[in-house]
Amino acid sequence: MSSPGISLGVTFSSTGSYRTIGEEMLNGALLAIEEINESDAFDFTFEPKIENPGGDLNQYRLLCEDLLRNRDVRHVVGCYTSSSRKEVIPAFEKHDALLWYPSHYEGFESCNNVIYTGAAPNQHIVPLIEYVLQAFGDRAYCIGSNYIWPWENNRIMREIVQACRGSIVAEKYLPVGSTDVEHFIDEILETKPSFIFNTLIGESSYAFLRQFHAAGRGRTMDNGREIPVTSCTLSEPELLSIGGEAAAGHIACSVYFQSKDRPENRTFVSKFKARFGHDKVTSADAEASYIAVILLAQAIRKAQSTEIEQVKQAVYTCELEAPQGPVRIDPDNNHSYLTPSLGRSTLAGGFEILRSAEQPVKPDPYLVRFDSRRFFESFGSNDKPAADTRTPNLKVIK
Amino acid sequence: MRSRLPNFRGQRCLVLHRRDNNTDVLVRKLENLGLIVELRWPAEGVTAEGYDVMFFDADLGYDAIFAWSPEPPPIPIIAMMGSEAPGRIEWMLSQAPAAYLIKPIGSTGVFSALAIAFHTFETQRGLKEAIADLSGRVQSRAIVFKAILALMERFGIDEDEAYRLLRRESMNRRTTVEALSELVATKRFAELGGLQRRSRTTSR
Repeated sequence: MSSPGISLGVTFSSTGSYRTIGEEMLNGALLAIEEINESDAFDFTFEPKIENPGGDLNQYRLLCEDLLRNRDVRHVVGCYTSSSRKEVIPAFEKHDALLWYPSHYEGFESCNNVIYTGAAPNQHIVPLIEYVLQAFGDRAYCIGSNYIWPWENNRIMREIVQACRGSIVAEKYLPVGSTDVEHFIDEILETKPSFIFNTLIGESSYAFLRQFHAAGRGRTMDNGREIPVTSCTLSEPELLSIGGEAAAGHIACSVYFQSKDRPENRTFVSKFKARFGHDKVTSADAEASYIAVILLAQAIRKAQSTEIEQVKQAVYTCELEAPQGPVRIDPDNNHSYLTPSLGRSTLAGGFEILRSAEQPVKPDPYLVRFDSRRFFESFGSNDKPAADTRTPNLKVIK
Repeated sequence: MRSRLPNFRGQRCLVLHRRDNNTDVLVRKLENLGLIVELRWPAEGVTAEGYDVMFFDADLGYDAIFAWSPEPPPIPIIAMMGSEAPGRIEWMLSQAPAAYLIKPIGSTGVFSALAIAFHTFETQRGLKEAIADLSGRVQSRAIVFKAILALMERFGIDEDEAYRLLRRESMNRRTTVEALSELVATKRFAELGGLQRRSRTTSR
């Protein structure tokens, strides 16, 4: 090893409109950096160069340019939104550096200068839809914040639901940050969909869940069944922000839940709480950031180099027993094999896991192997709302 | 109504370009998108048989590459452009590509080029069919007019009624107004058999 201290750029927005998530991701990365630095198993340490873009797109680009050009950085772990990732990718291509991107996103990208440790669409929305169509029925009400993540997810939702002969009752959007949700709730109570697909983010989502709960969640005098709210984003820290009963009983699809019962996860959770406070909770984005740093360290150790081509070739051969399960990088597209689970939020502020994929699912960022017609046929004629009695099977994607 | 998610799994693709860094990136990307890819260079008299889409080098390409030239391509073709010399752009455009990719080819652009190429090709095919159909109709306007005159004379009816008769009869006979007019205008009434003022089938 030429140098015992390896510069590692860390760019998460711990201030700004999505600071809650930015801070979780930063914490996940910091925990991993400290773990590597304390471990005897690595003959180097990471020197984190932490920058806070504050949710400002221009800052992302300027800070990454500076890290790569002036500060001896070849690897950066960072970015949450797709727009920030798109903003910095040209800098990574120009300086031949590697971005370790730890967030689930809408897919349809695979850049040679990015390693993706968050979920691709076949690992979040596809298993969610499969579950909700079986468990709740086929009339979907889609409500989301007005930007690319909800648009693309709703597009996939629409295609699959229609291929399964179901219907989209409505597809409604709110400006990011808006909490003006009342008339949507009226519309939901009136149209009585089988389920709600929620792609609202941040405060908009919390306001929606609180007010929908206050409005009785669609229960009526003659029907005690509530209309389930489902999403691919709801996470443990958000349940704390929503608070109380309004946070409970929602369906989420994620590759990580804090309640995942594995020794690796119990260690991760206790270390996280010991380091950042016992009131803190772990989440998918924190775990993906943690995974990104550990995989990078393993790859550098294996390659005995920080040069990106060598690190990439090495990381393709690494396998990590991560908190969620075994994780490895797919050389076809630089995304990760991950294990999706379905969870239902509880009063205690966590998720009860309803089912999990039997093994890690190969990432399919362009949904190449997905076919909505075949998906429908796999349902057979059993397309009526039914209790969750079918054997857990998330392996729609081969 | 939005169309389905673009999916190119199983499409057969021919890349007409010498093997280099660009084709390495392109072929890998296409295979990851599920296409079946073949690389060929040099290339001459290439036909579309067995392929759904083609990429071609706009820098070294020349007319004899494609067997169909100068006719428009029978499948979507995508230009790989390096040089922006006007002569090269002119040649590339003369091949009527449905999309293009700028070299050096990187991680971004291949998927959207495919989506644009298939969409543009379908749109243009639809437009060509519509134009051919409309041209035919314009040309047969004279024959329809002659047919109307013939009917007015034979049945002593006015122009409007003659036209209604033509339309009704063409519908009953499951043919076009233009085709029926051809027979009526040349007064081949015998072949028409039973053309009457009142249609047999409209007794509602």
